[in-house]
Amino acid sequence: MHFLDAETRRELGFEAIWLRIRPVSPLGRALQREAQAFLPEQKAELEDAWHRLEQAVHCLRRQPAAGEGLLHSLSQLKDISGIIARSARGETLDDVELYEVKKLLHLAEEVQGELHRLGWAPLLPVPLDVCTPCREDLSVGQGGELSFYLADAYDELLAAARRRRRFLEERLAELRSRVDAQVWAAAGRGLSSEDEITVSSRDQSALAELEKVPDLVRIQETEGFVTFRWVDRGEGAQLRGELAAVRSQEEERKAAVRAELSRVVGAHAPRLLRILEILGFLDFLLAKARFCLEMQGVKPSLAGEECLVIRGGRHLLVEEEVRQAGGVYCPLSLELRPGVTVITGPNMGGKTVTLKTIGLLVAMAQYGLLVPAQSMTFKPRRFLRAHLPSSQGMPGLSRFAREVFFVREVLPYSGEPGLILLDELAQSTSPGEGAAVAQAVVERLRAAPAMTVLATHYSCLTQIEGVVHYRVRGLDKEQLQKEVLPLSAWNLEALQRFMDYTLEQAAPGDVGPSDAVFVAEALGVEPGVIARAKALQRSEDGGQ
Amino acid sequence: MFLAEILENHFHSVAIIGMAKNTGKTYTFNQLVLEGQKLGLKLAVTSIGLDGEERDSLHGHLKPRIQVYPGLIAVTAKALLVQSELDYEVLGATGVATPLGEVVLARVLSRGKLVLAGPGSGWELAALKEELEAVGVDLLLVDGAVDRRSLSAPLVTDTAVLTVGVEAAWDRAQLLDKLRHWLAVLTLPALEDAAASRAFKHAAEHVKLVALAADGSVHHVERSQVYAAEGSLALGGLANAELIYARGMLTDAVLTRILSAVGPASFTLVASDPTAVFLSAGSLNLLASRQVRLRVLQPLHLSAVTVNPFHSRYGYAEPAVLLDDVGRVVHPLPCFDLRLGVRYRPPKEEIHALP
Repeated sequence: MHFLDAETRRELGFEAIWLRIRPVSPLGRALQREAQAFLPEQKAELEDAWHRLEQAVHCLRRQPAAGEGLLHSLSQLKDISGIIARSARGETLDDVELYEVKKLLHLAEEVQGELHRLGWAPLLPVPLDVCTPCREDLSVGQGGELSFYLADAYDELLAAARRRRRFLEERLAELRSRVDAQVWAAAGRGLSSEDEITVSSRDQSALAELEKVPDLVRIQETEGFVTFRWVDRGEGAQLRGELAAVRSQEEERKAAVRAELSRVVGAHAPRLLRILEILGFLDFLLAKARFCLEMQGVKPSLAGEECLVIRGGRHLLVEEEVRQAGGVYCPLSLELRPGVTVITGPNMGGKTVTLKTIGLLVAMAQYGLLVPAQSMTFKPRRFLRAHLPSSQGMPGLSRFAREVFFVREVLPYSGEPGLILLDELAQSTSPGEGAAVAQAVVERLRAAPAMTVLATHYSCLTQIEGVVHYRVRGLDKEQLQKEVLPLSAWNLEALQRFMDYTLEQAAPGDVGPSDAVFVAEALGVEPGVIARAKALQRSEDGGQ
Repeated sequence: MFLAEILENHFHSVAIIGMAKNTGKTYTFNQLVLEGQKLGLKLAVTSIGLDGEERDSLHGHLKPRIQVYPGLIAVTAKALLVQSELDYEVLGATGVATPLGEVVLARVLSRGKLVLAGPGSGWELAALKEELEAVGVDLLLVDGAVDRRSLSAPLVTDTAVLTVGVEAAWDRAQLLDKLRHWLAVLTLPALEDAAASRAFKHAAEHVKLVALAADGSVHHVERSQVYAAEGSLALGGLANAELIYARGMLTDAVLTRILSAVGPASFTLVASDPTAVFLSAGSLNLLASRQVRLRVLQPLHLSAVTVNPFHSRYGYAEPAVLLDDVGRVVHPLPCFDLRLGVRYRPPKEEIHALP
């Protein structure tokens, strides 16, 4: 069983949180895409990941603007592993590919300099090797420029071919200028980029003058105009012939230099790939650090025993919603052990958010992130599965059937130290049978190595031996009595204001009122329906 | 000189757009390159995508079309640069992908010809323009294509040159009608109401029409409502509008829906920019007859028009007559026949001595 499936990832809000980490390079983004959770046997690696991330957060906190330079360099990073691999196979790279390798080495130097300047070098697992010999080989005769050019200094024959080519090009340009000047004198303007001049058939004087220009040939004639082209038959033709031959020599020499430089790149391929890997790592690390700094995360602690202790834990997405609505977020504190913990409380009392917060914090911690909490101590879980009311599961199934499928899937794995989060199990079927199913599931899981947290309205589940019971405090009746609101002033916001979401350990069976009728009334259900519900509730209480 | 005249206005980027294929766009482009070189300007050249005209009609091969020289900055797809046999220095790789590889910045170091295939979209071109400013370029020339998509180029550049050729229509009256329509759209003036412009620019994605009434009230019509079944529109809020902004494409169909919902009173219709206006000549006439003003949030600037008398099927039209005909229509925009090296001169008005 994988640590986390897509459904749980989405339901807990982990997917949305993970996407808030934004590396700036394709390599950083690839690491983010491929990231796996650390499992119980990877405690040392997990500890190292947290430690490094905590250090990075510390660096950013101390020098908030200092990372800008690094970010700029990393944002220019490209995944050129394909180019490097081709050179390692002996293939010849083209000029643009050689430029990309040179640029990578330039970026690596920039990053290395910046890390040293800031004192951030210890963030890397190993020192960044900038492969200086390769950089030097790709910079010959280029004056320290970032651009890439097959400079003359690489090859004497190339330099000689270039000199000759430039000479011939200049000679041809001079020849052309001479003709151009004559054309100007004849027609009042020069040759076009195609070495042509077109004049109106009516401009007899220009036509006559152009006819006199040597090597200018009529190539087109219509009623309206005549076009001449400069066709160099003498020196020009000879120069062009030689130019073609010299260009061919130049290309041959350039190909030889490219092959040699590609061989150099190929010889350094492992070091270059390692540079890519480390720069990608740094990009991903800094992206995680920016995120963790913003959400004020803390480093979790590893526990020696099977437990999960959260103090002041926050579900970032819910907290944002509450803050945006002007409310006060109530952080979560609780302690879990293997076996079953049951959470009870009134409707809208935050039971589902509690499950989501537990799951999100465990997922974040095991993906090597800091967690939004005052503290968190735990032993990494082998797997994490959640079934919440919004879970989709298999399409077309009833809610109860989806729960059954979920239970069927996780029960065989309860012998492993996983974390199972179950909301309102069997609540959507008949109360008697539903409670029986839920009780049987709890009895099956209560002594298992997996930690199970179950939110429910079934009080019978809290009375099963070995089950730990937490209860949401619920509506703050004292405050309610102090600030009695007229019924018309009740709404969702008022209800949330008087709800105390704090969890407290409770005795078996002490589940407190679910306040279902009150909540329905406060949220504006028809008065007649409410009156009837109250009457039924009274008669049921009387009967009991 | 043609380029010198354009640069009088201190423009730093020029797009060359064609009314149709074979209207002399490449000739005009090369002429600008040549003149830029003679003026000693540090030039950069690129295109919006790869122009269909770049392919040899017989074999489908890419034709090298742009004359380049040492010092010129070329911005084109990697494959075209690598295969060009030019000597060049790679200055940067833009990250913009094309079917022919990434768009690369290179300093050309030899003479020769090059095919241009630059970024495919206006926003990529805009990013590239910024990159070129860092390289220190005096003038960027952008070879725009001839379809609507390519018209995004002049939205990014400071100005544009329109090439007009008889290939667009051999029949002169038809050609001039088409040209008048192009000009009417390309030279649409900007909306002068700055507050309204700001409000329109921030219209949400799903909104198609935004109406502003004289009392300052704003009415939004969603895309789905505009395209809903005829006659059942919730376009009531348009009735008293003074300004109506059509987000995205402004087509004849959208115009019909708007006109059916507004009263007889005149109003100003606003499009985002000329490239979003797909109204037929008939629709433009209808707007004029109803005294509806048409404005854009982002106008284009046209510097000049060039003419090409060549038609791939019928041969050559009389160049002087063509220059005269086109020059009259586009006046006061300067109009050139670059091959003949002549510029349209309007007939001098009779000058009467003051009494």
